[in-house]
Amino acid sequence: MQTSPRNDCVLGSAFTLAYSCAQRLLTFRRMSPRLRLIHPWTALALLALGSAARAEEPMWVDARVSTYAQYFQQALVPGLPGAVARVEPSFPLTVSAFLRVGAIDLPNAPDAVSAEVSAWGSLGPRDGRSVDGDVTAAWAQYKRGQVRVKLGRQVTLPGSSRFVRFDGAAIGVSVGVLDIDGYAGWVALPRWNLARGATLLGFVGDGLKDPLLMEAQNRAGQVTAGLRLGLRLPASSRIAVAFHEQHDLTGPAFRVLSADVGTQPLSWLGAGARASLDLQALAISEARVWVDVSALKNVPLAVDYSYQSPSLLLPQTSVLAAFGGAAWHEVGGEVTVRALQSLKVTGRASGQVFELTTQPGARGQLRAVWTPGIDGRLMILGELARALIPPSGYTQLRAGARYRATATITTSADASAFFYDQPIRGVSSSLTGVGSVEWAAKPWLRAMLSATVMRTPYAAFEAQGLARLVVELDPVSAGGLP
Amino acid sequence: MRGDGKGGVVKALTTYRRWMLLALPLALLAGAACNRGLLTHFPHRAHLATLECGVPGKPACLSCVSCHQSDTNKHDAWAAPTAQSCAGCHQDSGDKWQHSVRPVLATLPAGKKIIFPHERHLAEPELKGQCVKCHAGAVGVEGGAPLFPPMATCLSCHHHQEQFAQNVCTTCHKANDLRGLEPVSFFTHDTAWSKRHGAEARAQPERCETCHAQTSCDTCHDSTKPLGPAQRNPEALERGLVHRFDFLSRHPMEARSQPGTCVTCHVKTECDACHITRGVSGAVAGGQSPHPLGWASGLGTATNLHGPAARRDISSCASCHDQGAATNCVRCHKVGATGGTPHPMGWRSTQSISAPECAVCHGGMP
Repeated sequence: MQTSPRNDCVLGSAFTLAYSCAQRLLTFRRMSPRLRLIHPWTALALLALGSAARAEEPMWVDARVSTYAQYFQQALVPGLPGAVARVEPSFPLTVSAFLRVGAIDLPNAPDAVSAEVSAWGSLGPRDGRSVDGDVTAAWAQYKRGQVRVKLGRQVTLPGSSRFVRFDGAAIGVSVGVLDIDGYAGWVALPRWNLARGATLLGFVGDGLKDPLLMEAQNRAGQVTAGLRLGLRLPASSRIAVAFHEQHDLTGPAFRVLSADVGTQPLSWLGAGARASLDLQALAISEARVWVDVSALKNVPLAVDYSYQSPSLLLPQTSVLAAFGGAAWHEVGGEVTVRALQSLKVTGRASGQVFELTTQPGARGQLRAVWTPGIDGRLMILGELARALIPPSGYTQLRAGARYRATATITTSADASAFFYDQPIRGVSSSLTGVGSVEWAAKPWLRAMLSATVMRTPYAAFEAQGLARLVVELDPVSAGGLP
Repeated sequence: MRGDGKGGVVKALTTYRRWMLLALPLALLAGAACNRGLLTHFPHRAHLATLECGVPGKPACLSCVSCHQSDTNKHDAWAAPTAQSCAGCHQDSGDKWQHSVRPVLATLPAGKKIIFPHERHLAEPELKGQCVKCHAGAVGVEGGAPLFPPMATCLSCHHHQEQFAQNVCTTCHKANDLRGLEPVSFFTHDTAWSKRHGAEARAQPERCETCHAQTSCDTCHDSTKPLGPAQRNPEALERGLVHRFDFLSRHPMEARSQPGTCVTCHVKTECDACHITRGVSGAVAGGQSPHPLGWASGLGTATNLHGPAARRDISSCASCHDQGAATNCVRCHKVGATGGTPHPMGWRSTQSISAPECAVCHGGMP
């Protein structure tokens, strides 16, 4: 390790931030007589706080607001038998907003607090609903040394492969090579299930119309808790065991014990495995083993084996969980060839074997992405995929391109054809074309127009329009997608 | 027979045409891919290695800092040459400079500067003051090493295992930059990353949080949003978004291909919510059944295929059928009814038979 960044930041950060805030507040004093009274004291307090904290990192804020306006003119799928398909317009407006704050200083605890809030809302006719929305994240985290505490609506990855959104607390502690993580709270119920729609923003209105809904949204029994013990080992290896329990209204829905290991003994070799045991059925619900080999730098190879028992992935409070039992196995591989810097070809293939069924399945995909030129303005993509899913299957052909026409305007076109082995509603193919134009008006403002046309077994012609407006306060890695 | 033969030929020709449709653009792509250059048009190799210099009548030998004049003690030591840099040797310095600068639309590989003391590194005996040990792309051939070294170059000397295990990245990266960085050569999210990311996030959530917000997960995994990621981002062509294009037609096949995979993101009632809206559900009066005639009637008949289908993927059944006492499965499969036991061989459960979900069928049992 060559240098320490602390030299750059020790006196920057909180002091600078507080000083800058103080300066701004003093400037705003001209705006209002009331501010004139408050701001000098506020500024002084900020200066005191800033000088006491001496943080390593200045406080940062990421924010993004994405607005989508859609327009549909589509032939709806037929309803009652013999009913004439109705064509009707739909123009919902969806807004999603995201705010993330980090490196907030507390006295004697610099950079200790971070927080995130994320929500979306939809207005306009869509699927019989006119108002909809949800809060997907709302948490604050305190981190000091090797201890971290997170409170609020958050996501956890329990021992099973599924992630769980819950309202509660998560605590993590690292002691030497041992990592301990625990969580507990109320499960954030999926808003699709209106009878249990505790998270629906528009739920209050529904609840007033039908008091039974209010009663049904009681989450008293819908709790979750879990614990994970992880051990960091030499050679980038790790091993962990985890326990996850999740209760439904009628009892324990998931009670899972899982273990996972991961290792990278050589710079070009990585491997891992994971297995989950359903403690109620006393059976393995899923398992996975993988190996990644990059001995040939430009030809990384990945091999996977996975096992799943679908009935054990259902909540065990479901009657149907006792009905199934046939597991399936999959062996697959993926290889990427970067023979030339501008061309990347990726091949994937996998085969599925289903217990109690003689017909296996298989999938394969070949994709080439070409980015010619030194400026990366143009990207061309070609793809061929084949899936054998007895008794049917499909072949896909796809071609797409993206072109940065100017420093601020980017266009894209994407087309795909599917050929089905067995006709769907008497039609053996579908064709889709998508086009878009995006204008990055400012570094913090992007506007996009997109159109999709389709010919599918369910619609002789379907067209959709989408306008997207994204406002970003700071470039963030919030998935890289609006 | 004759008709069959002709049909076979037509089918073969159709298949052949489909393959040709793909093979042709791929061949064109492969041929054209050779046209890959450096990040700049400037002939670095000529100026640094092949130019005759340092002898009487010839110009003085150049080094990197002859043009990239900046303080090598600073982290952002790289400085773009100006037209004046060329004026010492070239009379048409303006044109030369204009021709060799990086195209306006080109973006730097990483896009962020790192905390890097150039002077100290150049003094290392392994480097002998040579910038090109790391910036090999400056004098390389087209299609060779990149001009700006990827992180793999740093890791060839500095292993950083301890920092990586502790998720400390700020030794080299500025804290504010991390959230906007995209891994280029190290910890890249390609190849089988979509299959690995869950395991990584479970084992090292803090590492993910260095760059990503929880909203990153929700971008794809929150299926409650009215717009899927493929719809929201039509320009993200290279992303492996599973619901692209005509997924409505494909979704029964995709669910059957990898049973249980849908419930990674979708909850059990979600399918029915959509089916009810579109009138393809038993929960709608007069709704269409997606099952063929005789699907669950007539014991042992050829059309009665619901048993094997349920064995193969009960989660698909659960997506529409009620999972409590009201499910129509109970009517035939409860104890004493004609459907027989639905439990698979070797069925075990730690649940008491009086548990609500067991009592639905075993209600009459002691």
